[in-house]
Amino acid sequence: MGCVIVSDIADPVLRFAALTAAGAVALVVVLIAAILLVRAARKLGEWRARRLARDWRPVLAQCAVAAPETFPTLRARERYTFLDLWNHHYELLRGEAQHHLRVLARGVGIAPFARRLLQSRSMRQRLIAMTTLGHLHDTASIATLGALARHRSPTLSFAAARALLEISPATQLPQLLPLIAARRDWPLSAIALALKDLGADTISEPLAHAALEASREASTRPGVPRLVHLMELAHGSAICNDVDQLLRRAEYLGPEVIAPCLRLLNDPRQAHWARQFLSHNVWYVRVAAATTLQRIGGAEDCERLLPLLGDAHWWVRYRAAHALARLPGMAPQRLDELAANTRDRFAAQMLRHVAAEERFA
Amino acid sequence: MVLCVEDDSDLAYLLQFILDREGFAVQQAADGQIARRWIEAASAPPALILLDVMLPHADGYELLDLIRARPDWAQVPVIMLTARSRERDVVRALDAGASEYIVKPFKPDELRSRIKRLVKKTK
Repeated sequence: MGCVIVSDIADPVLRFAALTAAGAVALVVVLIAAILLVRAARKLGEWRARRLARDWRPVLAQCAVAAPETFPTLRARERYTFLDLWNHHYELLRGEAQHHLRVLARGVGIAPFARRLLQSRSMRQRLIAMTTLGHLHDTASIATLGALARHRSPTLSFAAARALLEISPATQLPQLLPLIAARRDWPLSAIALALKDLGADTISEPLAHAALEASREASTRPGVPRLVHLMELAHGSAICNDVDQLLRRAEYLGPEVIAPCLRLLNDPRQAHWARQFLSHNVWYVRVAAATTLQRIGGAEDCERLLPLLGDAHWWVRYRAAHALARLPGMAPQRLDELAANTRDRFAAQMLRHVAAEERFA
Repeated sequence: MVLCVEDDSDLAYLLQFILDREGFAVQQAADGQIARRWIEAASAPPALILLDVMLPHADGYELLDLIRARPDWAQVPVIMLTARSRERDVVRALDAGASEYIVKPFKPDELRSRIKRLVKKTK
């Protein structure tokens, strides 16, 4: 009827206005319908998730105490929502309970579904699939995850690497460490969390080995600082010799490797490295050297640290003063005496500052 | 009776399941405000309190202060159950009067044995 009325209008301007108005009304109606449909779909999804949680929570809670012996049927359209619920429960618990949850997941057949989901176009679905397969220790997906760990997206590739580390840490870690070194788009803090979960026993040797290997080739050397930073998670005794070897190559590796290497030293027999780098031309290496002597230095290091109190950088002066304060036999009164005897105003200020801190410590 | 203050509904269900099996009646509080009202209105202290730290409206430390401020609640065992694992968080909770500190994710067996030990100790 609207069309008939519009076609009856003779004036072309009025006709155009009427057509525009009719189009706008139609667009609004379509938009309202779309909004209602989206809201209805969301409500339906929420209702399904609530129903799934109501049905499956007792089964998942039972896994906290024992492995399930019978497995309820998981409807095909509920599998994706179930993955979310199962992953959440898996991440709430530790120990035997996680094993029980894996038994349940295998019993209801979510592993093949999660493997298929790896091919999904949706990033969210792929991430959930990777998390699930990692938690399931699903060895059948290692090859696919290995390829995904080399994907250009940092989110996808890191999630795949994490899943691989969960599935088989002993075999996957040595293969992933060169990637960890090279992928600067993987956040170091997230990698550190993943490695921490594996434990120092698992990571110490492969990590130190990978850092040494990477330091040998010019093409892989840029990744060494990342690996050395991660070595803070390793057992100090297990990496002691490797740190020595890295410091022997210091001239090739540069300050970005020297500073974190010095922070790894915990044996007084290695204090000579810190002494050697007290006069390094990069200020943060001097900071690291002074901090290391604070930890493992001896009374004889007093004379070596005194010149650093006149350093151009505040942090070097501060760390050197702290290192002096913690040397064997040093007391706040001795720091005051040193301050009184020095001609350098900045050195005297720093010694008094640190002496005051030591008194209040 | 055990007061369980936890805002994650899945975890709250899980804790209820574990406590039910141990024979405890459970009072759930899904946020800090509900828990605060319950604590202020309760005539008798519960046998034990399971307390999350990060909660809407009032956090676990505020609730712990409220619990320890009531003389008749001073001896109620409180287990803090939280994702915060830093040493300073543990020290802060223990200084504020928590009896135990369990980090999430947790082992259900460990939680059960700590609950049993604390309840037995206060009886």
